[in-house]
Amino acid sequence: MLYLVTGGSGSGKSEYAENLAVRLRERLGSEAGRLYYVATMYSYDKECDERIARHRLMRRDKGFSTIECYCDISRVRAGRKDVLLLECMSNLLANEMYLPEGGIKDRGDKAEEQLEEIVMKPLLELAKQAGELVVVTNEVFSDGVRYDPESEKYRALLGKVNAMLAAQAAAVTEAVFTIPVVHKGEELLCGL
Amino acid sequence: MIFIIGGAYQGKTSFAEKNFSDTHKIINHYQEEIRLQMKEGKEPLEEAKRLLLSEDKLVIICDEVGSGLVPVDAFERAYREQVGRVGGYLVGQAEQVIRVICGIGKNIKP
Repeated sequence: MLYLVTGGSGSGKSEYAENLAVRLRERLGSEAGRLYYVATMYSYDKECDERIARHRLMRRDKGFSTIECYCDISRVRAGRKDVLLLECMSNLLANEMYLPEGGIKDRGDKAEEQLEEIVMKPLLELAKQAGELVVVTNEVFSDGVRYDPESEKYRALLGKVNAMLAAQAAAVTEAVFTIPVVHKGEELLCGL
Repeated sequence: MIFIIGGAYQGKTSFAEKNFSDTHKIINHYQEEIRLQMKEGKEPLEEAKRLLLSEDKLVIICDEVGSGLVPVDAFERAYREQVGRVGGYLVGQAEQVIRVICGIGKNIKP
């Protein structure tokens, strides 16, 4: 099943998502497969390196194996009882749009088709393959700022993919200053 | 009146069209109406009152725009404040307020 976790910067969404993945794996019991962290952050500089190091430290003792995947999520494979945490959609989308090997190069109407083809379809496939898939995304939509067209396109696509993921997800949670606010699937998250 | 709010690109329009297009008149991007009214020297709160008197079965969709840094530009500052104030008024008048995030609508009033 697919789980979506969103939240603003510093909201605690990563920690919530990590713990959710760990507990989802525990719930699978003795049959549980492996716990994977699908890391999408491409390091451009020292600040990225530090951020990556902080996240590695945060999940160090939780039992994750890390799979690095900046682009083309269709390369990731999972076993039927594996639990995957993908962090995060906002990086993956930026990579697909801005890295040379990215697959979302159109800035017009075709961009949404590419989004569906390059990101949504493989992700849903992965969710079907795996025991559980948790996707972390980002809340960047309520500052009232009108950005340049390129940034607005990015925001539009991120909003789109978030809504598509939420529609398919079994549960959707927003982290608000570390408090999980559940928007969908409360019953599924009970006891987790 | 039903008031639908949320951040940009959250699927507010699809949500409104899916649920209310048969029964209500939908007014979208109300934050832009407010901007326009201010540009024209009109009083957004008065305009909102007039709008509610003009039609009964209304859905008003408005972006939440208040969670960024205070804009340096004076007009942008006033605009953002007005969207908040008018939004507060509309919430007071609305029979139902729905907040949309990731395409999911959640009742926050009643």
